Amino acid sequence: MPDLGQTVAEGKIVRWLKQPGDRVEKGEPLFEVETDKVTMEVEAFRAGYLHEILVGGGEIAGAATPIAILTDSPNESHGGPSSHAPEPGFKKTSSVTASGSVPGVQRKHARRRTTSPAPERVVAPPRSTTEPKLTTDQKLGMYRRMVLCRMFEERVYYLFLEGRLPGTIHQSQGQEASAVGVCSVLEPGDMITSTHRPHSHAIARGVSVTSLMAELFAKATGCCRGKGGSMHVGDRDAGMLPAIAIVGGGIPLAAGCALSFQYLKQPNIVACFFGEGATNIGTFHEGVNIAAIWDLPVVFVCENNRYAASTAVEKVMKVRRVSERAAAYGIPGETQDGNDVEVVYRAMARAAARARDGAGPTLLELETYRLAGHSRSDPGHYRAAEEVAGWKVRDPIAAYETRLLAEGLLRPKAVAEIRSAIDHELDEAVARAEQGPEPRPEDCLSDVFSE
Amino acid sequence: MVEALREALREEMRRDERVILLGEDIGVEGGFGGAFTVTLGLSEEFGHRRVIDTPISEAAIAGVATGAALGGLRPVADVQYGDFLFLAMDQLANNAAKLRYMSGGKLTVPMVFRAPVGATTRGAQHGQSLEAFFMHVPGLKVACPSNPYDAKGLLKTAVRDDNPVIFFEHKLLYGSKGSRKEKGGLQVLGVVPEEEYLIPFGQAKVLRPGRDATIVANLLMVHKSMQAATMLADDGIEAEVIDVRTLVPLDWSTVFESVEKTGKLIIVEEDNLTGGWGAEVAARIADSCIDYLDAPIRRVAAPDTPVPFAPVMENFYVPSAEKIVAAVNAVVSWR
Ligand SMILES: Cc1ncc(C[n+]2csc(CCOP(=O)(O)OP(=O)(O)O)c2C)c(N)n1
Ligand SMILES: [Mg+2]
Repeated sequence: MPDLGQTVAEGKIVRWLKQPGDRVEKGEPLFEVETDKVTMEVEAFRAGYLHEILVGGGEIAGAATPIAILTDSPNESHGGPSSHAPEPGFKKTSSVTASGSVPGVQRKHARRRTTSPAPERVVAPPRSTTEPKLTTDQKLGMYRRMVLCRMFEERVYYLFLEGRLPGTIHQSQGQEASAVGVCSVLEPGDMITSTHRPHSHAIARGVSVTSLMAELFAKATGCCRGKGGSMHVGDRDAGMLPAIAIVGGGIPLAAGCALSFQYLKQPNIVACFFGEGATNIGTFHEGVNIAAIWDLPVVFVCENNRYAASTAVEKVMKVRRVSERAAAYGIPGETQDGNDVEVVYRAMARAAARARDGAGPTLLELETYRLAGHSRSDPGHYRAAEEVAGWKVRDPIAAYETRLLAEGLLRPKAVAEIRSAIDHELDEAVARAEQGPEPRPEDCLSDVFSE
Repeated sequence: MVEALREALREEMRRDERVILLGEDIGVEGGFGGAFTVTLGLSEEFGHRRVIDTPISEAAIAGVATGAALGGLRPVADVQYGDFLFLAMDQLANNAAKLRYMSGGKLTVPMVFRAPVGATTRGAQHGQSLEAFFMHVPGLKVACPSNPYDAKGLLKTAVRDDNPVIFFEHKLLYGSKGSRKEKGGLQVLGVVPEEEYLIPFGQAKVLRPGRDATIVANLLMVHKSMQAATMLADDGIEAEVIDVRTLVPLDWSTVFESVEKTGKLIIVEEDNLTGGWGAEVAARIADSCIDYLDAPIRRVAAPDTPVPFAPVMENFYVPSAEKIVAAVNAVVSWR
C-alpha cells in the first residue's frame, strides 16, 4: 500500500483492477482504494506480473504494508526482495501537512464543482519580420529539454510514491512548453524567479539535474545544500533565484533584481514566473506597477493553468484573461498558447527584446494546464474528465514531437534515443543523490547570517 | 539625529555607488525628504537614479530592495511609519531574512530597512514599537540607536553589513528642529564627528555605571532611564544604565557582567509588555545569571493595549521615569 499522503494512515482496497497472472505496466491502474479523504485508482510504480494478491477487495491495509507481490516474469515465485511490489522502502512519515490526499491516482468519482470551458484557442499576433528564426538545433534542444522536464517529474513522482523523498511536491507535467519556451530566450546572466512549482523552470533554466535531484533527496549536495527543498530550488549561478513558495512573493523580488540590472547597466533581464492565482494577490499589483513605472527589464510570465490549487480561474477573476490586467499598468499584455513551445519562444523573444531595449515589462499570459495534481497526491476531483482529456490531447511534448517528426527534423529513432539517454541521466542523478552525503544536523545552524 | 542619519546616508552614498535609497516621498523636489526629513537634499546631490521615490507599495518596497540586494546593490529602504512594516512583513520575513538560508548560504541580502517607531500622539497605527517582531525572525539584524552619534555610526555599519538590517528610529529622537518638528521631541545633543566612524553591531554601551541595579533600555527609553537614574541617585541609589544599541545581535556579555555585579535587573521598553524584547532579555538572564540575582527581574513596558491617542492616556501608556524609579526601588528594597 503506497504512502497515501501525509495525513492518511490506511486505505480500503475497493477492488483489484488486475488479476493474478496479469501483466502490469508501470503507471497502469492497479487497484482502487478508498480512504477517509478520497476514492481513487492507484498506479503501479513498477512493471511486472501480478503474482499474488495479499489484501483483497473490501479489506483494509495500512500505508507502507505489503498488499500484493509483483514478479519480473509470469511464473516466477517471489524470492528476492526485488520481486516485492511494496518493497522499495515505503515509509509512512510522521509529519503532518494540510495537503493530505493520495499519490499515484487517476481521477475517479469526481464531484464536479466547476465546468470550465474547453481549452480556448488564442490567435497569436502576426509574426514580426524581425523575429528570430529557430534553427533545427534550437528546436531539437527545446524538444529534448521538455522531455527532460517531463521525465524528471515522472521520475520524481514515482520516487515520492515509493516514499523515497521527504516533504511535498508541486509538479509541472503539461507545463513544459512555457518553462522551456521562455527560458530558451534567456541569456547567461539573466535571472528567473519561480514558485512553489519550480522543477521545470529550474531544468529549463539549466540548473543541473543532479543538484536538483539531490535537493529533493534533502542531501548536502543539493542545489540549496538541503536547506531549500522542492519549493525553493534554485541556483543563482545558473540564473535562478531560490524559488519563492509564497504565492506572488517573487514578483516584487523580480522587480528588484531587474532594478539592479538597470542600475548597474547590465544587459540582463528577469523572467518572473507565477500562476494565474498569483495575479489576485497584492504583491502582483505592487510589483508589476513598480516595474511598469520604472521601465524595469522584466517579463512577467503568468502560466495560466486554469487552477489555483482546486479553485478555477473563473471563480476568482472577473476579467476573461489575465493579460487584460496589463492595461491597468500601461504595459503590453498578451495571451498565448502556452502549450506550443515555439509560440511561447516567439512571444518571449518579443517581450525580452522589449525589456532589454529599456522599454519595460510585458505581462505574458501563457495558457496551459497541469496534467498532474496540484500537489503531491491531489487526485484533481475538481476538474471535469472531459476537460482533462481535452488538455491531454494538447500535451505540449506529444504535439511538438509529432510536428518535428512531420517536418522531418526529428528521426523516429532519435525519439527513443533521447528518452533512453535521459533515462540514463536520471538514473545517474538518482544514484548520485542517494549516495550523496546528508547534511550534518548541526548544519541547520549555519547560513542564517553572512559573517 | 535627523542630521546624523542624513550624514551617514550621504557618506555611504558617496563612498559606494551601489548604495541607493528607496521610499515614499523621499526625494521629491519641494517635498519633505521622507516622512521625517532624513533624506532631505539627497536627491539633489545624488539624483533620482539613486534616491528613488516609490508608489505607496510597502510590500514592493521591501521586495524590490531585497531583489536589488540580491542583484548586487545595497539598498536603504524606508517606511514612513514603522507600523507599515506589517505590509512589508512577507517580503522581509519570508524573503529577505530567508533567502541566504534557503540558498544554502550562496546568496547575500545586503539591505537596510529604516522604520520610525514610538508613540507620538498619532494613535494606534502610527505609534507602535515593533522591535520584537523582527528580533524574532532569524536572518534579520535589528538596530535601535538612542542618540545621534550612535545613529550615524550604526547606520553606516548597517549599510555595509551583508545581511538585512531593520533599523529603528524613534520619532521623538529625530530632533526638535525644522519643519517636521515633533511635539514632545527630545533634543538629544551630542557631538557627531564629521569624519568617518563605524559602530559595530552587538556592542551595548554602559551610559552610567552603578552598583545597585542594572537598567537595560533602547531608543527613547534610554533617556527615560537616565532621567530615572538621576532621580534615584538623589536617594543614594546608583543604577547602571545600559543602552543595547542593537537587539540582533545583542551584547549579552555586557548585560550579564552588569547583572553579575548589581544582582538586579530592570528592562525598559516602549513595546507592549507581552512578548516584547525585554521578555527575551529576562529569559536569558534567568537562564544564565540566576545565581547572581538578588531580586525578581522587572520589566517596565507599555501595557498590552494599542497605542492610545489622548495625550493623558499616551502619557500613561509610555513608560515614564517615575515608573522606572518605582521599579528600581521595588527590586532594590526586595526582601
Ligand atoms: C500567500 C499564499 N497563500 C496561499 C498559498 C497556498 N498555495 C500554494 S499554491 C496555491 C495555488 C497557486 O495557484 P497559481 O498561482 O495559479 O499557481 P499554480 O499552482 O497553478 O502553478 C496556493 C493557494 C501560498 N503558498 N501562499
Ligand atoms: Mg494556476
